[in-house]
Amino acid sequence: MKINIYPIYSPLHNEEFMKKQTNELLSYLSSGNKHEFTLSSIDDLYNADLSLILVESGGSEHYFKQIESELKEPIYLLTFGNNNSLAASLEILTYIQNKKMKGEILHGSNKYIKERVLSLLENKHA
Amino acid sequence: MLRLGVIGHPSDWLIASDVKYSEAKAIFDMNLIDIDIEELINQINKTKEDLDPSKFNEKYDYNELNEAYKIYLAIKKIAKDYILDGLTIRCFDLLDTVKSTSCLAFALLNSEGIIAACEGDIPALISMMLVKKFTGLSSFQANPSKIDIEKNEIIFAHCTLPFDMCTSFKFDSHYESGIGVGIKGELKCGNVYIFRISNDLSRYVLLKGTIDENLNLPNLCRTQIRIKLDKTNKVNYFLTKPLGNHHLIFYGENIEELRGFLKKSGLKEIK
Repeated sequence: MKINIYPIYSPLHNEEFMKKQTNELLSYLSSGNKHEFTLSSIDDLYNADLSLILVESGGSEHYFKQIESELKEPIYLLTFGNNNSLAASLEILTYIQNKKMKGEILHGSNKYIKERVLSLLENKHA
Repeated sequence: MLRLGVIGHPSDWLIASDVKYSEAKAIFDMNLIDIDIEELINQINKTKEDLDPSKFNEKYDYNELNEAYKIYLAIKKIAKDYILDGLTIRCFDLLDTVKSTSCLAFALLNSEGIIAACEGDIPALISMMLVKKFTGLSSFQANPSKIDIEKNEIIFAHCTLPFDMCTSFKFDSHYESGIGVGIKGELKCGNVYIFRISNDLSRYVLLKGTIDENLNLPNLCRTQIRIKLDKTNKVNYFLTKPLGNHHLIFYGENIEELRGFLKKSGLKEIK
């Protein structure tokens, strides 16, 4: 199945390091299965079985606001934690829920994230 | 009534932290007062007093420390002029304008009893004021930075903390900008609470846990602690229904007065 991921980040952080982390995470998530994890444009985000927002750094919250009108519930925020990306995800999820919308942060060990993503895919096609 | 300064607006990234000033006044008897960030910047530029090189034992670039110390003096002057009990500052605006950081100032001010919250975060400021009022203690405003769901553990990090909360500290640069003065503090391991009120002032979270380690991880803010939550509390709260980003960590055993006040004030505790 196809999982499209749209990344958001703040230029205050080291872009090279963020991209390296993103590649490592996507490589882990796609290992041992036939699912296709792809970074996508916002226009392509929902041309997939599952759509995720990858929060790559702190300070990306107001970039989320710029794309929120393009998003569909539930909004899944994938994040690895470094660069204050988890902190940003918390602020974004609070914002989403204040608007009575559904969302969840996908964060933890790579193993946990992978299991949670696969579980979401299964539920979607159950 | 407590007087709280909001110097500059909340940072752009605090998209879920706006507070109605009238409700803060009605519920908590706290008067939020807007102060233009330019007033602070002008005060910093006017400050001529230099740091006594012997004030801190920790070695660090004197010029950086001196600039950060001037920010402390300027904030203190504004706090005195406006008769403030606490304040929050849109502190990242100082990076480009005065090329320094307010982390040192906040560490000093908080330990002196003037509550100072980062980034213009008003719910964090109110939470810190409540902790101070009902426990007499300072609190560490920090970012949830990494979570281990299986172990029910969470790492918190930020570039400042009240000096009266740490057993030792070192100076370092501010993490995101790489400039100025950040504080890498060591906290005593032991029981703590994690606290935050929601921006609509209707809910709060108060989780019990234990600091089990100070950390030194790259790619996070300078002061870093790992907290293991008690079995009755779950880190899932942070991933599924948080009340915002910054949470406050404080020591202390007697939190019933705080909890009782919040209940009486109509706030609902979420788990």
